[in-house]
Amino acid sequence: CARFKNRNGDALEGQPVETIYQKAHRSMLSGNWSTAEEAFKRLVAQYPYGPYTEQALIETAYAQYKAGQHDDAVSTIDRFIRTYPTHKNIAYLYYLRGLTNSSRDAVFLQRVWHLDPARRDLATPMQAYNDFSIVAERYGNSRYAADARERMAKLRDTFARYEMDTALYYLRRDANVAAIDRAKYVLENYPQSAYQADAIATLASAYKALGNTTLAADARAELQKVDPNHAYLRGNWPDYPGHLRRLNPFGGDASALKH
Amino acid sequence: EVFSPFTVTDIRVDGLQRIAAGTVFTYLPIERGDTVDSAKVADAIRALYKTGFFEDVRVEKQGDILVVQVTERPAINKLTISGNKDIKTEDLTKGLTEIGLSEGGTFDRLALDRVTQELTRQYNNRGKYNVEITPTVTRLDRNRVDVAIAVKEGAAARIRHINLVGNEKFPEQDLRDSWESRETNWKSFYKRDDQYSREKLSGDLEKLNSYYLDRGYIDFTVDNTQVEISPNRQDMFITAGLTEGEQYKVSKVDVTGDTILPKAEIEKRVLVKPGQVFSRRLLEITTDSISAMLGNVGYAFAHVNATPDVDRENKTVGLNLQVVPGPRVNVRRIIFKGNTRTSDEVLRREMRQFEGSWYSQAALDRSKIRLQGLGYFESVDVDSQPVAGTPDQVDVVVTVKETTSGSFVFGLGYSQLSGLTTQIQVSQNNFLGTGNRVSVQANRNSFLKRYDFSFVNPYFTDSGVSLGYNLWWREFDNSNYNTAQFNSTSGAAQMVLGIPITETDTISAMFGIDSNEIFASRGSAPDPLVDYIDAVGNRTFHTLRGQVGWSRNTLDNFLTPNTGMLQRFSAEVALPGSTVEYFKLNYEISKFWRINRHLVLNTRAEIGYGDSYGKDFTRNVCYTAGTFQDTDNNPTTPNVYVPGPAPTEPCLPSSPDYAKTITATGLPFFENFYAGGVRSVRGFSDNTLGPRATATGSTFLQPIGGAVKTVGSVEMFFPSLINSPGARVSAFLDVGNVFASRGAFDAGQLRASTGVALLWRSPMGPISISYAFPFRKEPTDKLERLQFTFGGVF
Amino acid sequence: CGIVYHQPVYQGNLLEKSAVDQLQAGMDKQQVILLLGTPSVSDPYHQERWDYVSTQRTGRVTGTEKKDFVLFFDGDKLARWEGDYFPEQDEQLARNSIRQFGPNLAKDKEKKKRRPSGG
Repeated sequence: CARFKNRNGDALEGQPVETIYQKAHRSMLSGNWSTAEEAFKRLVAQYPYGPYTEQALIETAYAQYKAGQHDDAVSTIDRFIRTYPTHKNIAYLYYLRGLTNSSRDAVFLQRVWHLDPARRDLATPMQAYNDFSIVAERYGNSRYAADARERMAKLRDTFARYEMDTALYYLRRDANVAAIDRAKYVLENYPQSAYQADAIATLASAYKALGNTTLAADARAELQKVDPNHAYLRGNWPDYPGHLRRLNPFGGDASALKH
Repeated sequence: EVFSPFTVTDIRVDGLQRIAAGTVFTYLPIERGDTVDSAKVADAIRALYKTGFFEDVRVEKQGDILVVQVTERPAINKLTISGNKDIKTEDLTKGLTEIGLSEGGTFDRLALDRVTQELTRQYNNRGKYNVEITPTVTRLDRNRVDVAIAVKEGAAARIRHINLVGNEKFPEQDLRDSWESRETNWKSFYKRDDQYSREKLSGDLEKLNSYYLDRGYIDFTVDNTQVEISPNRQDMFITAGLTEGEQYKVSKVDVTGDTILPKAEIEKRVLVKPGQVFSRRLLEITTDSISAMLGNVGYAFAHVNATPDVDRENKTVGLNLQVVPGPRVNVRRIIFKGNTRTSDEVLRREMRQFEGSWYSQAALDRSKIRLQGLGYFESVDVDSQPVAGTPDQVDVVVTVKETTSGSFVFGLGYSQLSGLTTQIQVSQNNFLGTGNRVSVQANRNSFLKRYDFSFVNPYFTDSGVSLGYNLWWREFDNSNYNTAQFNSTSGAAQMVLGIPITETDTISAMFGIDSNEIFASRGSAPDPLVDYIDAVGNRTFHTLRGQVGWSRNTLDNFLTPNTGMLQRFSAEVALPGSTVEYFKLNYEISKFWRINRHLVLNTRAEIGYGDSYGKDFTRNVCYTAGTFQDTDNNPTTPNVYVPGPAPTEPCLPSSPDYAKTITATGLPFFENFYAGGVRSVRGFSDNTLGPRATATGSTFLQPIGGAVKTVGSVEMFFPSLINSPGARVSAFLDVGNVFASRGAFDAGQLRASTGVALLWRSPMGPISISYAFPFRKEPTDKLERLQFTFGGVF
Repeated sequence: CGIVYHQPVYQGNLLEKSAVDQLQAGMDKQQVILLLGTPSVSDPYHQERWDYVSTQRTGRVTGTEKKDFVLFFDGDKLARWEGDYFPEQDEQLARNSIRQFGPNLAKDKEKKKRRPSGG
């Protein structure tokens, strides 16, 4: 197979840049990411500058992302940003880095086993959030800004969900100070997240468990304002999933949070 | 040139090829409309050089236009490295990319020189002093270059001689016992310990320093070290000059400062006593244990300053241990890192330290042991970091490195003997990262069908009550386990429950029903087995099975323990109503002693005992042998076997054709204990120790196991012999055997063997290899000196 | 039921009588923190009040013992304080932690150099 590889390499040696680009681009369209990546690499090596080179680098990063080589994609993107900081569609590079980082550590077949990404290490999704915030703030009117903002909101909900699951973990174990701290963290860091009301409800139940009636009443009043029909006000919150579910190997990650 | 200040109306950049003008403007600190003088121009030039894109930058003034003249550095077309053996090409290319040399990147001569120096330094570190690195740069068109780095490693310089000068109190041989750098010896061809490296030597000198300081020589210094290399750069000579100074004893020890806890408690931890020879190691252990004691009650930053006051005349040193507790600290957040597969709660529920609570070193240490105990991680690291802006809060960061905690085997094969074989076996201790243990096994071939499913949720309740169930259907040929020749078809359904009763103790219960059909035919299965079946008068054994157990685990590490003990006791009963009523008791104990840094002793014992408690089964057997007769009285045709008359019913000892009485008592043979093999007495092949029996008409002795099992072992581990955390070498003495019954126990019959073993935590799971010499054995024993197991936790 | 083991749950601050006795009206928030440490509960909707909550659940069947020592501020100045807190029990906690969690692990050498050196 090595023989086949460099025959392909020789075929590209000394070709005009347009032909190499067309050949690589065709492999991209047919979804043949590794041959496309290889062809683009030969193009960049032979023609180290010019519009085709820049386009080739961008499509290499995209090919690596689609092929699931997340680490390579991020290093290609970083090298491009360092060399062409003012390229006309630099926004796309930050956006692509955001996409790569948000799916970098996703557990295989995550949705099939209905696993909750918020339960696992959030280091790469946090990097994705930073990438998308660059797109939204610095390139606010680029084509990608709207989608970046939407993805940021979804990521914020994931981070808030992680904090809330941990808050409920501690609430169940009568570790009320820990639950209060996690709920406050949600209120301070993810103000418009979908778990605003749940956080206030956690404060109220923790204060009630601590026997601190004044703080519990005020928290309840606050919850009344934010979400009048929250389950806590009707008395059955948090509604933890049943124990029997824990005997089902394919039960996945269940949580008392409904969103 | 000197510039009189002027305002720039426009900026023009000449000489650009690859780099876009926009890029230059981003890094250029001057814009249109700025007033510019020579200092500003110098900054601009420096800024452009820093980008690394340009070989040369010149700035001129044409009227009010600032002209920046640049020549770009060439791009690297091909980058090849040849002749490197010790350092792999991928590591080299990664190193080069970090320095800034990679295909498609800009070529910078300065970076190339840095690379050559770096490579030479790395090779020197490996003792290769006459390495030659020659980079060649060939220019191509379109401002491109090919870079080739040729490496000629040359032979490694060997340490021929190490010489310590000035050591009167201790022989050089003891001083250098624990050194890594050694003179060339027969082991060097694989240990490479005679290869010189600066880090190794400085590590060894540090060991020398500790050796003296641990024996009272507080003035010890290494004055000078010379490392000479022979002209042909093949041989190295190391000499170290040292002054020992005098040995000092401890005159007094007093504990000062705010000790928080009563002084008496603290003083109990002080190992350094007046009159002793001063030892830095004892002092360190003392200060560590005092700060840990305060760390257990919230003083995370506690430390002890030991200030010596030296009395030169009578060679004594007084020690003032000043306790500095620092503030009482609360834990704000516990953050887990590296758990891309394992869910956060699976880790958090093992933590004994709570958020929003005071810091406890003991709770954090216990949490680390418990996290390791899960078996999901290669490494667990617990670290606490102060929270910025508050004097008394820390965040605890737990970094884990996940390993494959399970196996997935899929096999499809065909062989004449067993026809089409299919085998699917999925067992995962951390199924989908939820912490549940799931094992599914299905294999089929012509003489074996097996379908197993088992599931355990270790945290059915938040406090750790575990619940699970096992279901299996097996059609088995036991002979492939070296035991007696009989087949069994069994099916079972069981519920398993585990309840933690203290931090280290758990009680467990199992309840299940199973049926076991035995095929033991006269002539192939040993006679006692067939007699048992005949006596019971039924081949299918239905059992209502109950089991209760207790276990205590105080080991300090899951896979390579150094201290602590593991005990397990279980009582299994075939409850009344089962075809045969019996019970089985099992007790295991394994204790670890840390002798010193290099030796860990482990003593293990396992005792098993089983017996029946219901009524025995007796049966009288009447039988008259048949004869060969010439039924068709035609001499040419062979005689035909004519069976004897039917046995009299009911068969009594008094009946004429009475042959014998057989009774079925004690533990049923299919529940017998077995011994021999890697998990009990090494050196003997699996399950072959203990009583044997022959089938009618054969002299082949088949092991049938026994109702009493006594196995013991004494093993000495050498953790520092191989310095990888995942591997441990040990020497062992195994003793043990199984006996038919309590009465049959005879210490003389105990088999014993001694040997060496290697325990290695490979990426595919734990592997153990052992080589044993059985020295108390009988001629009929089946020996197997080299044995290994793969996977599974033992 | 009583036989199931529950790990001890401690929450909040451990206050010392000697420190609490030095509280004086008019102290600013910084001085209070130096004396008693950071409060475990400072409710987002009550800027004028700090709750030094402390709770303990150690027994098998006993519930969680709860105490709350509350400080009220007038602006940035300490106005009044009330409530109670667990009496000094360091010695008992030290003994319990060894009995409960076993001896401390040895500090591994290179990590010792990176120990948090605050305070």
